[in-house]
Amino acid sequence: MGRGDHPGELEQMVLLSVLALGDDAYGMTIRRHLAEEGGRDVTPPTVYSALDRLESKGWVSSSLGEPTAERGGRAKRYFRVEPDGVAVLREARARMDRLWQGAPLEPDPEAP
Amino acid sequence: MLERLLAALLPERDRDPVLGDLAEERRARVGEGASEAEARRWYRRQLLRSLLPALWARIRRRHDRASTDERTWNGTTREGDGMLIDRTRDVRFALRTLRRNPGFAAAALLTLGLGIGAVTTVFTVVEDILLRPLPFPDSERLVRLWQQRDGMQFWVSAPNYRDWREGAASFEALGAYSPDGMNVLGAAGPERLEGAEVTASFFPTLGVEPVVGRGFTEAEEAEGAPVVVISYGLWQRQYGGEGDALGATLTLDGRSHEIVGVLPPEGALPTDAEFWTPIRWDMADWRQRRGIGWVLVVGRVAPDVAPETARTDLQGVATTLREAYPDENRGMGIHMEGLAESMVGEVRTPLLVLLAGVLLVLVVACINVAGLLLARGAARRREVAVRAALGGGRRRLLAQFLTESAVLSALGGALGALVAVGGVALFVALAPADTPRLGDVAVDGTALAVAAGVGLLTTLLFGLTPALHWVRDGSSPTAGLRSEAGAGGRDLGGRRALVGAQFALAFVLAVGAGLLGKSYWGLTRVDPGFEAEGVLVVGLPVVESWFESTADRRAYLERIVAGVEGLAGVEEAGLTNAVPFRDAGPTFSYGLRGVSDDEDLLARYRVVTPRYFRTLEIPIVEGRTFSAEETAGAGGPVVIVDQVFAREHFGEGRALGREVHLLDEWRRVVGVVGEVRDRSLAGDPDRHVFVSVGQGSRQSMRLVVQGRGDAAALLPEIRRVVRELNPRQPLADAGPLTDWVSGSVAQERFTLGLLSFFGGAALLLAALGIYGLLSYSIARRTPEIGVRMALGASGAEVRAMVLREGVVLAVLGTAVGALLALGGARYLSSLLFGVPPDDPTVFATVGVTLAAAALLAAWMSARRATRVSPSTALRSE
Repeated sequence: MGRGDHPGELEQMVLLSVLALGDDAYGMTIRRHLAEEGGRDVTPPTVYSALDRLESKGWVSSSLGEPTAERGGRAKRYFRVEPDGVAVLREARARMDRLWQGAPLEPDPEAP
Repeated sequence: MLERLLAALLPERDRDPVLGDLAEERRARVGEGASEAEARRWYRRQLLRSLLPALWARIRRRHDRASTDERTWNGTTREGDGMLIDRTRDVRFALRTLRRNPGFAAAALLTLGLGIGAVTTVFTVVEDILLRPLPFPDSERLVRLWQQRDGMQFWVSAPNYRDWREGAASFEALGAYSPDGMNVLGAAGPERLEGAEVTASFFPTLGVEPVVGRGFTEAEEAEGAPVVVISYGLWQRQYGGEGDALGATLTLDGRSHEIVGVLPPEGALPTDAEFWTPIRWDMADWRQRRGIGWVLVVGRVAPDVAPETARTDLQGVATTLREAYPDENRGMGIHMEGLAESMVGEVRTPLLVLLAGVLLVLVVACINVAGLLLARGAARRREVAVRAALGGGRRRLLAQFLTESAVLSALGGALGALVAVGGVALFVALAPADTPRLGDVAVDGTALAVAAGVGLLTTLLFGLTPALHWVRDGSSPTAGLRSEAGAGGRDLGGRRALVGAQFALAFVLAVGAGLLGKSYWGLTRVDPGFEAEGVLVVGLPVVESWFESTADRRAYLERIVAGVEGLAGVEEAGLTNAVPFRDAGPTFSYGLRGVSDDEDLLARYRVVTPRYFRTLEIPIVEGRTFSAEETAGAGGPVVIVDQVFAREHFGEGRALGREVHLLDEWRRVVGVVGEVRDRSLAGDPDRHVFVSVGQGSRQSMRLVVQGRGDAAALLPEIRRVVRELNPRQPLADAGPLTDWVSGSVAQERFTLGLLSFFGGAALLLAALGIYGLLSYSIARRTPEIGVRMALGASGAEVRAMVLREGVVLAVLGTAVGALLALGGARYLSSLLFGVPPDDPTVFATVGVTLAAAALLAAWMSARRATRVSPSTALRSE
C-alpha cells in the first residue's frame, strides 16, 4: 500500500475505476469494475478503506446518494476523482513507463 | 446474523454504503441470470469475507483520525487510538519472529510453560488446602476442644462435655461426635462403612443443613433412637438420589435404622463418614465415666467474641471442673484450636516450603529466558540500530520489545495453565493419602488467574532487562552499526550477575532438598521396636449382638486366630486392639504403690493374645508372655509392661513381681517387652501396658499375621477361614504393616521428592545458564580468540581462559547461595529430624555438586571456543 505521496497499486486501480465509471461511480459499481476489469475481487470494506484513504489525501471526493428499495433503503456513496487525483495518476503512469523503458522486457500485449 | 455482525464491525460511515452495495449487487446478479441460490451463496460469502477487512477498516479509521488530529493540534500528541494499530503490528511482528526462530521459541516457551505451570500447580494446592475456608458457614468461628493434660490432648468424656456445654458462655453451640465404623450387609458381602455417633447439636454447630430430610432431635439423642442421617455419596450410590430414601432402613451392626436425612456433598466431620447416628450415651457403663474420654468436641464461638475471650472462659470452666472432680479431672485443662487449623496445621509448613521452592525455580527459569532473549538480541543489534537511526523513537522500540516479551509470556502462560491441569492431577495422585482436604484440590478459575498473573510478572522480570539494555544501547545509533569486537563490557556484566543469581538460588534449593533428604534417611533408619516386614494386618470389627457373653466373644476371636494360625503360609498370628502406626489406640491412667494419686500416670493400653509379641518380633526382655489360663480369663490379674515403663518406675531388671493399678485392679507384672514406637519414627517411644484378652476390657480387635513369604498373599485364605467361621464378619482395612509404617513418613517422602525435583531442575537450569552465558561471551570474543590463537595461544590456554570465567562465576554464586541458604534453612527446622539446619555435610556436598555442574557446563562451552579457527574469527570483524 502506498503511503505519503504515492498511490499503491490498489489505490491506482480504484482511482482508474472511478474515472472510468464517471457519474455512475459508487461502492458497488467500483467493486464490480475492479473485479471484472482489474481482476481483483476485493470485499466492499476494502474498497471503501482505499477510497477513504484517497479521500483523505484529497484525490477523490464523495457525496451521499439517495437510498433505494433495492438497497434495502440504504444510501449509497458516490465518488469523483479530483484534479489532484488525476495528477498523481498521470505521475504514477509516467514513473512506471520510465521504469518499463529501462527494463529489458516488453509489456505483455495479452494482459488485461 | 452475519449482517448484524458485519454492521457492528464496520465503521459507522461505511455501514449503509457497504450493506446497501451488497444487497444491490445480489439483486443485480439475479437479474443477470444467476439463480436465487447462487446469488444468496455469493452474498453470504461476501459477508464472511468482509468481516476482517471491516474490523481492519475500523481500526484504521480511528488511527487515521488520531493522526489527523495530531497534525491539527498544536504541539500536543494524542497517542490514544494510534497505539492500537501499532500494538497489533507489534504482536504480529513478534509472532512472526518466533516462527522464524523455532529453536529459541521452543526453548523459551518450554522453560516458561514448565515454570509457570509448576508455580500454578503448587499455588492451587496451597490455596485449596490452606487458604480456602472449610465448607461450613462462618467457618472461622469453628473450633475443636480437647481435654488437655501434661501438654497432650485427649478425647473428651461425656460428663465433661455436658458440663462444658452448660458452662461455656462464649460459645453459640457445642456438639460432640464419636467416630465409629459399622458393618453393613451389602450386595457383595459384609462391608464396613465409616460413620460417627453425634449429638443433636452437632449439625447445627457446624452449620450443616441436610439437603433432604432433617437432623436429629434432642429426644432422639436422649433415647439413642434408631435413626440415621446418610451422606450425599451414599444417597447417590445406594438409593439413586431418590426422595424415597427417606424412611428406608439401613441396617448397621445388625440394628435397623430409619433414614431421616441426607447431608449435602460437603458433608460434615469426620471427613470420610458416610452415616451419622444419634450418640448413645447409655450404651455402656464406661461411657458415662468422667475419667474416660471417647468423644471429639466441636464448637462455634459466639459472634463478636474474640478467641482470647473464649479461651479465658474455657479456663474458668476447666478450673471449676478440676475442683469439683479432683480425681478424674486432675490436671485437666481445655485446649481450643481452630477447626481448619486442626485439619491442615500439619501440612502448612511443608506446603509453604514447596511454594517457596517452586517460586525460586520460576525465577531461575525466567533468568534463563532473559538470557535467551539477550543472546538473540545480540544478533539483532544491527536491526535495532538501523531502526533507531531511521527515527524509530526510543519509546516505540521499548514498546516493541515489551510486546515481544508479553507475547512470549502470554503463550508461556497458556502453556503453563495446561501444565498446571496435569500437574494438579499428578499431585493429587501422588500425594500421601492422608493429606487433609486432598479431595478439595482442583483446577479452577483461580488457578487460571494465577497462571495469567505469573505470566505477567515474568514479562516484567525478564522482559524489561533486555529491552532497557537495548534501548540504552540504541541511543547512539552508530554504536550498534559498528562491529561488535570489544563491546563486551556492559551487557555481559549484567548477564553475569543474573547467572550468578541463578547459581545462588539453585544452591538454596539444593540445600533444602539435601537437608530434607538427610532427615528422611535418618527417619527410615529408626528402629521402631518391631518387625513390620511380612506382617499383614486385618481389622475384625465385630457386632456385639452376635455374642451372649464376654466369654463367648473371646472364644469366637480365639477360633479365628486358631483358624488363621493353621494356614500353611502363616508363621505366627495374634490379636491386638491397636497396631503400631495404624491405630492410635486408647491411653489409660494407672497407679503405682507408693506413688501418690496426684501423679498423672498415663500409658498406652493394649489388649493382646500371648503370641502377639512373637508375631511382631517384639522381644520379651524379662519374664514371660501371657499363659493360656490368663488368656481364658482365669488366674490372678497380671500385666506386661514395656522397657520404657520399667526403666522409669522400677529400674532395669526390677520390674517383675511389682504391681500396677489398672482398670480398678492391682495387677502383677509378669513380663517386660522391648520398647515400641507406634505413632511416629521421629518421636520417643511411649509407655505401654499390655493385658491379656481374657483379663482386659472389651476392645475392637485387629488380627496381625506373620507370613512365610509375602503376607499380603495370605489375604484370600484368611478371608476364606473367617467366612467359614462367620459369613457376616467383614475384614476391615487389610494391608501389609509396612504400608502403615512407610505411610507415617509418606509426607516427608513426598515433600522431599518434590523439593529434590525442584532442586534438580534449578541446578539444570543454572548449568544451562552458565553454558549459555559462556557461549555468548565466546561469540562476542571470537575475534579476540582468533587473534590469540593466531599469536600462538594453544587450545588448552583458550579453554582455560573460558573455564576461569565460568569457575569464578560459579564460586561467587555459590558463596552468595550459601549465605542465603544459611539464613533460610532455619524455616525448615520444624521439618528436620536429627539434622541441624546448618549441617556442614549437606552444604559441602551441595557446593561440590554445583561446582562440578558449573565446571562441566564451562568445559563444554570452552570446547566450542577452541574449535574457532583463527582465520574465520578474524574475518568476522
